[in-house]
Amino acid sequence: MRRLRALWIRICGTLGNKRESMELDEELESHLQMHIEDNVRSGMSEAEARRQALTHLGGLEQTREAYRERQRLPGLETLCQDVRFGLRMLLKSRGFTVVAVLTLGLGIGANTALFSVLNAVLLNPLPYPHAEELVTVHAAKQNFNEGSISYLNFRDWQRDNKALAALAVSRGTGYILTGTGASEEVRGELVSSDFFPLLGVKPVAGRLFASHEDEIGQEPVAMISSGFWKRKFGAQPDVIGNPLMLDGRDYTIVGVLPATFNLAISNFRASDVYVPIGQFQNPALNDRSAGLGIHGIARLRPGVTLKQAQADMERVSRNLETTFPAEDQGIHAKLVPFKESLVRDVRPLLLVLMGAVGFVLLIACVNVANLLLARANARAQEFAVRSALGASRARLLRQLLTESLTLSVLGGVLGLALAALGTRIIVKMLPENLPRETGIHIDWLVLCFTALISLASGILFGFAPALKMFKRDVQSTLRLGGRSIGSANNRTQDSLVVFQMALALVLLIGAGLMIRSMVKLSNIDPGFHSRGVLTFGLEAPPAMSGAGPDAIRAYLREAQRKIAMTPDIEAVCFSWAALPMMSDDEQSFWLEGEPKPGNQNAMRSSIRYLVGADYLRVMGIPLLKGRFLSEADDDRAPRVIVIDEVFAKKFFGNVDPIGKRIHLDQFDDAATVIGVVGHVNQWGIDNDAVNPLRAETYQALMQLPEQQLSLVAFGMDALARSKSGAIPSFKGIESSVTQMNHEQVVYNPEAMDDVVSETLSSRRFAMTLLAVFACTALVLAIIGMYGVISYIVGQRARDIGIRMALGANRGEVLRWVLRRGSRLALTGAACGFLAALVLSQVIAGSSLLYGVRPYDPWTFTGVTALMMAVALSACHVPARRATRIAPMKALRTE
Amino acid sequence: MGGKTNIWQGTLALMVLETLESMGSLHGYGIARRIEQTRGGLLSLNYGILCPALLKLEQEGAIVSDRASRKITDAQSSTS
Repeated sequence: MRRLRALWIRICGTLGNKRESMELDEELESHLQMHIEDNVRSGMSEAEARRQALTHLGGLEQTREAYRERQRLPGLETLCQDVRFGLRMLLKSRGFTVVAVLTLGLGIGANTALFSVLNAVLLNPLPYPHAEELVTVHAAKQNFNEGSISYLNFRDWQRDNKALAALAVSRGTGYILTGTGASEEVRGELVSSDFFPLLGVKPVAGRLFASHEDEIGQEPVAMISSGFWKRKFGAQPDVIGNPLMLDGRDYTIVGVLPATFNLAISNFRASDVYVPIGQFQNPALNDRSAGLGIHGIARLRPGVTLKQAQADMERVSRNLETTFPAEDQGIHAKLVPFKESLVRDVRPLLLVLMGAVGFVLLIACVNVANLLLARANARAQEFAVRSALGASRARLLRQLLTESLTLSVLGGVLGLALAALGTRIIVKMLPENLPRETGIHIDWLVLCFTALISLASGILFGFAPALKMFKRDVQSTLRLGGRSIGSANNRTQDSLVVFQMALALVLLIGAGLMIRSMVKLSNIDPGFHSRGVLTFGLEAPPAMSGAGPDAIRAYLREAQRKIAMTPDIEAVCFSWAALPMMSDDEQSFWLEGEPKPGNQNAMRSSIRYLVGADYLRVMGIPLLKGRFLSEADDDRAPRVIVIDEVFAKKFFGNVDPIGKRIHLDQFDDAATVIGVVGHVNQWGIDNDAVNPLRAETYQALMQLPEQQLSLVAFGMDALARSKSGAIPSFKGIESSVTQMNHEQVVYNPEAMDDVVSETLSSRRFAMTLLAVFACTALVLAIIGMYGVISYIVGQRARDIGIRMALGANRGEVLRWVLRRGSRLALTGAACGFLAALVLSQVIAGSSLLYGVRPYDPWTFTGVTALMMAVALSACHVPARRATRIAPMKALRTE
Repeated sequence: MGGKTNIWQGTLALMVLETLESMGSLHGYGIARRIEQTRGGLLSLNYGILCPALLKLEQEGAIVSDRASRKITDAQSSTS
């Protein structure tokens, strides 16, 4: 504390006034006088007394010096001096300063912006106590690595495991809210009681779900989000105990979750209302083989490792396999750490981008180093004089570094401003699968990072010129008297340019590979025409909940007819189960003639679409053989099924599938294949080809058994195609629907085009950023190239003048300069080419490429040629200048 | 700078504080003389050493100066 106080006073003394020295002089004077008086009193002569006193004092000037050093911080004082001097030098050569600061600002800004994304996504700890103990839980099965867990399995896992402190499940859903203002669709999550306690979430009002409240048959209760509480109830505390009517049932509100609760993991999304899982109105909840989209989270017991927990869950799964062979054969619990499941998809992408942006900063540093080198030659005289006057090397190095650090700090400040802007742009561009984008901002860690890279780059580009300066002989520099040292070789500068070129080429090749992948992807036919198609959710009025199957079928027909009457709508179709690139569902089956497999997991499986007759028309899927489902295929007609070409080829080979019969799991009667349609990319444009589950089946919505049909009314997908090709107006559809019945709602409109492009969003994000970085790198490298060639031309002006005076023609001079430039560019390109061969393997490893080999010859040669062309045109400007040198003038100025 | 003194770092500060505590407010010259006296002339204290030491004590808040005379602070006398 006392030390700090002293330090503070000394800092103030350094930056403050000079008044104190007067006081010191006075004190020294009085001290001297007293000493002389004492000496005289002890019998010395006046002169002797003075002499003795002065000797004893130990030198006036030294005392002053010692005092001053104690009064201030000598190091800080020199630093201030150097900074002030550096700033004056920078102000004097404004052009240089502007270019250097801009270059650095760009490099540092890009790094800071991307680091703030990386920081928020990869580095920030999750906002839960002991987040390292949290895992997501899935059921690994035949076609799904991380499939959903059936309710009964969840209960057994929960009871039998020994490794988990708590296991909870959730499942997304939607409700129609009535009786609280206008009826609307609200997002809901069905959760088990342990869900919130496991995360350590505390309610802001009321309570969480009690431990048995989540079981089937308990009283309906609900928790609501803070946002919903504010929006619907004005944050009134007396909302606890109030009823909330969801899908026509009364739920009692028991608690409100904090506004900070915003989890998005595996299938869970923060919602408006939360309801115990036991309230799930799906009869299949008690079916052990039905996953129903339920996924789990768990907390490991303290001290239990992931491996131990996984082994324990394996034991539990195996026990269930023996107890319930029909349902649980091949189903195993799978644990994935929270962090891993949040970031595994984006980590490679972000790391590749971070590497790329690091290259950009390196190139920027090299550029500034080159500029400084050129300046160092110009300032050689100044430093020779200083060192002749007694400045030590350390002192000179310190000053040079102070100057370059001043530059880099200025660049850092500019970079921070650019990053603040850039971060905002990046957040807008972010693909949806990038988790926790709300956390992206510039925090102290980002600031530290910026400070660190600014200082590091300052030292990096400051050292080269400083070291070069010391290689010079002071005497010969002084003798040259400030004329440029033409003979000094430019090897440092040359190698810096080569290095730059190589880095830029690596980035360009990376971007080129990404762009080629993107082009390949956009040429892939997804199997349907997304243009002019709108998807949205539709929920029947709550009154339909108790209706019989005939009433529901009548309702569906009526709703379809009403929506189809909306202006500009060409066709409408309802869908349940899977939708391409949006939701998935599978159908287990066995072929006619095969024995019925013992359990569901031994059956064959396909993707299941449950649709209406107009589906092909709406989606623009081609019919290849036979016919599609029609209005006549309803509960009275025989069961029919339509398959896609992949299904036909996989299960029937070259045999004509029309008329073949398929036994569908959970149906008593076999279905007859009536048609074959084109394959649709269910799993997204880039992932469909590699997914093991690709065979597709289409069944008629109207042929659903009664039990499932009653669920359809509680939320189905609808698809509408416009006549004009524009995206159908959701407003128009909404008004048609409310005209029919004001208690039914449509929600969540999404243009199919957007859905398709969303599947490529993270690739597009990576491609755009990489392309921007590569272009920045190219521009910086070209500026570097231009600078060095101009510098050489400037230095060799006399040389060139003499050559021309001796008869060299302009063409020869031009060729001479260009040869110099192309030698640098070629060396750089060769190094970059080799480095890119190695580094593109890294990109390939991160699965960012599609349909392009990591050493794609077209990209490599094309990009290299492009860079050579740009580099040579950059050399051309100074080369032309060289040809215009007037020999007489060049000779005279020397 | 510390290297120029032959007195252990901190020893001088202690001597100064000791002097000021027993003598009360003193001029810098007085402090020097007093320290030399109490050490029986074994120590020759030149002002070039004493002066920065006094400034250090002052910066650390151990003593206060009033023009040329110094005295110990309350906090310091109660703890020492």
